[in-house]
Amino acid sequence: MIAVDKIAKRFGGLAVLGDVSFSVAAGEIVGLIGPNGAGKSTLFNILCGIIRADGGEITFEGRRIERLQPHRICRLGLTKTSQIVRVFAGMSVLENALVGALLHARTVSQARSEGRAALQRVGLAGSEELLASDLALVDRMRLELARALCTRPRLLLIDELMAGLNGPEVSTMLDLLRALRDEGITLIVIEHNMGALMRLCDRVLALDAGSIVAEGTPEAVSRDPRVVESYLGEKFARALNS
Amino acid sequence: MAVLQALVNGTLVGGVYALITVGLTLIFGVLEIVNFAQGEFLMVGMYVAYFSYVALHLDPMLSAVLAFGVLFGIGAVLERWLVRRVLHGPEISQIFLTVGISIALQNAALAFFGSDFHSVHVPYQTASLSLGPIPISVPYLLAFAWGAAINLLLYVFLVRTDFGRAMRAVAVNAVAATLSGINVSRVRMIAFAIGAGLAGLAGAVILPYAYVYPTIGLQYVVIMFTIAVLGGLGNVNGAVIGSLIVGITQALSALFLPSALQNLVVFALFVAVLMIKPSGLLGRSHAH
Amino acid sequence: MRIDTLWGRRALLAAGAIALLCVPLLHLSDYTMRIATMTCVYVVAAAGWTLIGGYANQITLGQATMFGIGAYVSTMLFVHFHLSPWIGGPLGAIAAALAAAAIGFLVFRLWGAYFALVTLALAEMVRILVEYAQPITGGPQGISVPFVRNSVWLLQFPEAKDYYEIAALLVILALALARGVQFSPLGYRLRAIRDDEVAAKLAGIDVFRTKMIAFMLGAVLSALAGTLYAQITGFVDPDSVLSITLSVQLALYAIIGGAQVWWGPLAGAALLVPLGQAMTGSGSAAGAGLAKIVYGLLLVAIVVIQPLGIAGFVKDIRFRRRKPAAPSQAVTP
Repeated sequence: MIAVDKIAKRFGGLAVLGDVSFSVAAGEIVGLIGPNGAGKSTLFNILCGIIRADGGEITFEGRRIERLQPHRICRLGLTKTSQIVRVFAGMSVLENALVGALLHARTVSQARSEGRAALQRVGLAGSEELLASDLALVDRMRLELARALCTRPRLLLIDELMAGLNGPEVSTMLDLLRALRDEGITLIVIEHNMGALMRLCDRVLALDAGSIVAEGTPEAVSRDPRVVESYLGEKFARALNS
Repeated sequence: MAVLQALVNGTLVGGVYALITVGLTLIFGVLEIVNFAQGEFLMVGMYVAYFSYVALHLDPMLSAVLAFGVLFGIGAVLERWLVRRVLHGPEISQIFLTVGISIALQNAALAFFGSDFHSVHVPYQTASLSLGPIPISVPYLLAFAWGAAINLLLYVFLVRTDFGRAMRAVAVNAVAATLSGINVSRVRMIAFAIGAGLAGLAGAVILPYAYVYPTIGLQYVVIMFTIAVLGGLGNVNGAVIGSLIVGITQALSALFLPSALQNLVVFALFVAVLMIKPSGLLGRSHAH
Repeated sequence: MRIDTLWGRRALLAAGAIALLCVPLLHLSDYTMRIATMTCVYVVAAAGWTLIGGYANQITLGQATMFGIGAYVSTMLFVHFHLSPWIGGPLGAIAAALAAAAIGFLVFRLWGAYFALVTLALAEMVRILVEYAQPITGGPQGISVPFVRNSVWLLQFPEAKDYYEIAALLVILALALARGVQFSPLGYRLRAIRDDEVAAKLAGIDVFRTKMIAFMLGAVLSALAGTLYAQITGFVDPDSVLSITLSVQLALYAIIGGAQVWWGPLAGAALLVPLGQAMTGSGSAAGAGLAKIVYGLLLVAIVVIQPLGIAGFVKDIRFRRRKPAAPSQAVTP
C-alpha cells in the first residue's frame, strides 16, 4: 500500500525526522506511538503532502508521491484527520462533509447525499444543519473523519481521534474503524490511548526523536525496553504485564 | 556626479520616508494590523501644521510636536473604540476597518477644508547648503534631521524604557506578555497612538516642501507599505533600511527613467521581494 | 416539497429579474434613471470583487485594474480601430482575465494583508503604465469616446438612461453567475478555502486552481462593467477607472451588502450608489465629501458590528433558527 523510504525533515537546525522507513500493507491497521515531539504529526503531514520532506521517497500504490501537492495525493486516495481539528467553521456540518464528497461526486446533490451517509456513519446524523463551529470538540473530530471518508480514501491517516471520548464511545469508534478496514481502507493511527490501540492495531510503530525505535505487534512493542523508557514509563508497563 | 547627487537626494528622501513609515511599522509590530489609514493620519498632521501656520505663524518644524499630540489623541481614541474590536475578528474586518477610517478622514478633510492645495511659506523653503559641489535642500535636510532624531528616540524608548520593553514583549508574544503581568490592551493602545502621532509629526515636517490636500495620503500610502514590507512589517529598524533603499532607488531610477515611471521601479521591487521572501526582506517569520 | 420551494425560489428570482428590466416603465426622471444605470454598472463590478474577495476571502485591493482594463481596451479599440464595444468589451474581458491570471500567479501564495498590499501595488503599477503610455491611452488626462451616432451596434446613446436595459441585463447575467457559482461545486470549494486552506487541500481541493478560476471570472465581470462605464460616461481616465479609490469602493459595496452571498453587491451598491449620487448631486466638494464620509463610517460600523454585511443579519437569523440542541449520537458502523 505505502512504502516510506528514508524520509528526513529538519526545521531550522532541528532534525525532526531522521531517515524514517517503514511500509504498510493493504488492509492493515497500523498504530503510530511515541512521546510528544517524536515527529508523529510531522510524518503524517509529509505523507499527505502538507509539508515537503528534505529527502527520501514515499511510494503509494506504486506511485511516487513525495513531491505531489496535498490535493493530488488526496485524489490518489490518501488523506488524514488532523490533531488540531480542522473543520470549515463557517459552514454547516453537512456542507463540511459535502466538500469532501465533491472530490468524486459529479453534482452538489450527489455530494450532499454522500455527505449525509458519512455523517450517519460517524454518528452525526441529526446535526447536519448545525454550524460546524457550534459542535463540541469530540463532534468536530468526528466531522473531520466524515469529511475524510467522503474523499474515498484508500489509506487514511488518523491523528488522535480518541482524545476526549469516554469508554463506550471509544468502543463504538473502534468498531467503526474496524468496519472501515473491512471495506478496504488501510489505516495508520496516531493514538495516546494505549488500551484502544492494543485492541485495534495489527502492528505498532514506535517513533522517538525522529526515528523508529520499535516495530511489531502491539504486545511486543509495549514490552520493548526502548519504548517503555521513552514513552510508556516503567509503571505503566508493569501494570500491563501484571 | 549625477549619481552622487542622486545618492545624496535619495538618502535625504529615504530619511524622511523612515519618519513617515516608522509609525506604520510600529503599529503592525505590536497590533499585527496593517493600518491603511496611516496616509490619512499624515494628511491630518499636515493640516494641523498648515492651520498652525495660518493662525499662529508657527513653523511646521515646531508645530510637528503639536501634530504629534493631536494624532496621538486621535489614534488612542480610534484604538480604544474601534481597532480593539477587530483584533481578533476576521481578516476582512482587520483590513477594512482602517480602510473605512481612511475614507472617512479623507472626505472629512474634503468637506471641511475643500479640495484646494495649500502650502506654507517659510524662509528656508528654497534655501540649500552645498556639500562640496552637491547642493542640499534645507527643507529636506530638516525633515531628514527630524527623521533621524525620531528613529533614534524610538530606538532608545523601545530598548531602554520599561514601557518600550513591554511593547516589544507584546510584539513578540502577546499571551506571554499578559502572563508576565503586562497590560496588553494598554500597550496596544499606546503603540497605535504613537504610530498615529508619528504619522502626524511626519506630515508637519514635510509641509515646507509639499502641498497639503485631502487625498495627499494616497500619494504616500503605497510607498509606505512598500518600505514597511521591504524592511519586514513590524521590524522598526528594518523600516529605516527599507526607507533608504526606496529613497535611493527612486533617485537613481530618475537618472535613466522618466520621472513618471519612478515609482514603477519601487513597486516592482516591492512585488519582487514578496515573491522571493513572503515575509519581507528583513522580516521575522509569522506563524501562518 | 423541496421541488416546490425550489421552483418557488426560481419564480421569485425570475420575477425580480423582470422587475429590474421593467423599471423604465415607471417613467422616472432622467436623473433617477441615470443613477439607476450607474448603480447597475457598479453592481456588476462589485460582483466581480465578490467572487474572489468575498467567496474565497482573497482580499484584493486591485479590482479597479479589471474595471480599468475593460474600460480602456474597448475604448482604445473603438478610438484607434473603430471596433464596436460589442467586440471590444469581450476582448477587454479576456484581457482582464489574462491579467488576473498573471496577478494570481504572483500573489496567491501570499496570505492576508500581504495579499491585499501586493494587489494594491500591482494596481498602482498598471495605473502608472497607463498614465505613461500617453500616445495610446491618453495618459493622465484620459481619453474620450467620440460620439459617432445614436446606435445599438456602436453601443452609443445620447443619455445615460438609454443604457439602462443593457446595464440591467448585465446585472442579471452577473448575479446569475455569482449565484450559480455560490451553489456550485466551485462555490463550496471557495468557501472551504475561505475557512481553512490546509483543510481544503486535505479534502482534495486544488486551492490554486480554484482561486484562479474565481479571480478570472471576477475579472471578466468587472471588465464588462468597465466597458459599459466608458460607453455611458464617454470618457475614461486613470483617476476614475484605475484608482485605489475605485478598488476600495467596489470592495466596500460588496462588503456592506454581504461579501459572501451573491446578492451582497446588489444590496450594497443599490444602497450606496444612489446615496452617493444624491449627495454629490449638489456638485460641491463638500457634498461629495459628505457622501463618502458616510461610506467610510458605514464601512467602519459594518466591519465592527457585522463583518458579513447586511446579509449577515439574515444569515444570523437563519442559523439561530436552525440551531436546536443536538446531542451527539452513537456511532453506527
